[in-house]
Amino acid sequence: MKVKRKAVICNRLGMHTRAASMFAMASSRFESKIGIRKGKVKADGKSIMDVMMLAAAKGDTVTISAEGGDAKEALETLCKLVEARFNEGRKAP
Amino acid sequence: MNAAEMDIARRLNGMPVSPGIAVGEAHIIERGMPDAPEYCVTEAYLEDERLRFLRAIDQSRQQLDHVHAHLKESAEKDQDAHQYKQELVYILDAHRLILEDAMFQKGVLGHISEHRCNAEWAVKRYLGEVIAVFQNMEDAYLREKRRDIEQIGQRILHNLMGNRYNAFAAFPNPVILVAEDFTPADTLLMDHEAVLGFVTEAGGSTSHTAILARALGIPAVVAVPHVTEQVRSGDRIVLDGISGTLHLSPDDEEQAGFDARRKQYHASRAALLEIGGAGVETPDGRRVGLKANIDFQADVVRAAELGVDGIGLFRTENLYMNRSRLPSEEELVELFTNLVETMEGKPVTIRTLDIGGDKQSEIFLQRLSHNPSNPALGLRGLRLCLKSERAAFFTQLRAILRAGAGGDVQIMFPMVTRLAELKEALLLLDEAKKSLRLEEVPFVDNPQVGIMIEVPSAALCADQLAPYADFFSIGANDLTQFTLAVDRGDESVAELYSPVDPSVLRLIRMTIQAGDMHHTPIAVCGEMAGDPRYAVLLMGLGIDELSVTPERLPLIRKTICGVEYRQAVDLARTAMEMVSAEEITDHLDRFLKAAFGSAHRLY
Repeated sequence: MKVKRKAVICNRLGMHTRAASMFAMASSRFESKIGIRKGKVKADGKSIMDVMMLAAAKGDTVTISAEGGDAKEALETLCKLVEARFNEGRKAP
Repeated sequence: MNAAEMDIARRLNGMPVSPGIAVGEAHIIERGMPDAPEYCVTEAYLEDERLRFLRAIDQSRQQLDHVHAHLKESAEKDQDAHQYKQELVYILDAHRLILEDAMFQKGVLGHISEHRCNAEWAVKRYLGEVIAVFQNMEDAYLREKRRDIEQIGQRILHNLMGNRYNAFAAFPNPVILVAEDFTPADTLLMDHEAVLGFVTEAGGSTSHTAILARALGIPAVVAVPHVTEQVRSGDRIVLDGISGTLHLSPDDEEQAGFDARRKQYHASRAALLEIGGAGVETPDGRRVGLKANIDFQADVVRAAELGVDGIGLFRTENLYMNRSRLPSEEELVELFTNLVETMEGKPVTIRTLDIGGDKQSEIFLQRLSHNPSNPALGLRGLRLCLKSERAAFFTQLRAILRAGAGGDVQIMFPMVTRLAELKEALLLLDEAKKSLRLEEVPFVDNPQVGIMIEVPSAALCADQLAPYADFFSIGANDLTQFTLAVDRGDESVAELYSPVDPSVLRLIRMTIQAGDMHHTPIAVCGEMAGDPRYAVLLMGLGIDELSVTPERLPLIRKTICGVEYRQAVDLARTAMEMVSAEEITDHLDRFLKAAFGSAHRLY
């Protein structure tokens, strides 16, 4: 199964190191292949380097895609993470 | 070069931001990629290079695991730096993830095969390409993240070359760290117990380095020009965090002298801390308020223990620096309430946001519409709060008012340059009260509201500002800088900087006269107040209150208790007739020496 959805990067700092690392870690928990695309640039969602190099800043729209057995669940989780602003600052008061 | 010139060449000057003396080996924190051998290898050795790279990755990962464990453990023990350390655990996690990243490993291995080159060259080539991508990013904050890639590259390369990579690991011997500037990641991934002191080229008294050094009680000197070019790792140097001097290659005799001075510093500090007790009065009965300047919560406890009349300046900038989002109102209320409660009914003066100038916050910086050509004269302090950051300012005002329900808070506005600004800020304060009243949230209705006098225009019009201010607090650092048009971080003019220049003293006197006329109490909260010589002069000029860093409290208390008020008045009167800062400084030195002996200034 292959699913995809658009999401807007809404955390203040964009896909910085920590956000990218959370995204890659979350992606890696799923079997499915994860992609994240900004404009024409496409990145492997499980690679922190690739995600960082996407340079997705606040306000950018990205398309997240998942392909595999747990694709639906993966997409749900990852979109939620983006929407929750990567819990920016929550754990570090 | 004669002997005197030689001596100067071996000494570098900067801005002292955390007191103490350190004697030890310098360690330079490097930027960019280290030099590494670059050569081609024959087909037969390619597999060796691949294995070398994978081993270096493994080794790097183990090092990071080690630091990770250490950090987690120390974050639990050290409340003050807990937030930073938590942030660093995240950075470390990201670094480990990058090391394990399949794309990264494949990229480097691909370079080895394709270019038939050694592992070092392949790492440099591949990461060079990655860093180039970062450098072209539009978003300034994301662009800065190339530093993470650089740090990983440095680690792998040093491991490949068999060098000890100290930047994050435990140091074999205690060192004095030297860098262009330290990022939070640089400073906090180190083993603090092995750091004797900090030296940076960049920075001001509120830079990350300064704040951290003070929190750790380690001496630091910032704004030392070209220091990374003049010192090499392994050089023995002396760092004097009291005078702001760095001594390069001291001989045995000098070093012994500094060792003695360091011991004396610690002894006199310990002795002064024992004085304690509240009530600061001259022998002839003039009472001078003595309060503490506070950056960190931990300092509050220390100040309360030492016995003070209150907190004369609580800086809120740190709450906005080195973090990714603005603090919430609840967060601020909790912190301010905590301050007020710790002081048990004594007044706590909270200064509203004074960002801009040399104190920048990533959050606000990236929201600016343009790059200021001259930040010191740009959108900063109250101006910024009234113009582009009204919401953050409003949140602060509400939080301070709410904390006031539980104790005595005072509000202080920084960088006031004209009456209209003060009036506008007071209107916003009224708005904040109205909103709290509507929400039926408890708050203090009538707190004291004062202003900083730190710009010549404010001193010159102090009589017009006084009817609208419950108190004045003179910020001597900025007042001196603006009056003399001297940036003390600029070595070519730094010697012209003096808070006792006749021009600055006249502005201070004008402020005092205006305050007296309107019964507005006047405090001094800059570094000036923490220097015993200046403290006596200020007392003689008629200042009601001095606010100093906790380290300086005992010394200033001892000074005030040891000088008769009428003597101080005489001293000030003569000083005001003198025509140069040098003459006045000499005059003050002589006075203090006569009153206390030469050891008094050492601290």
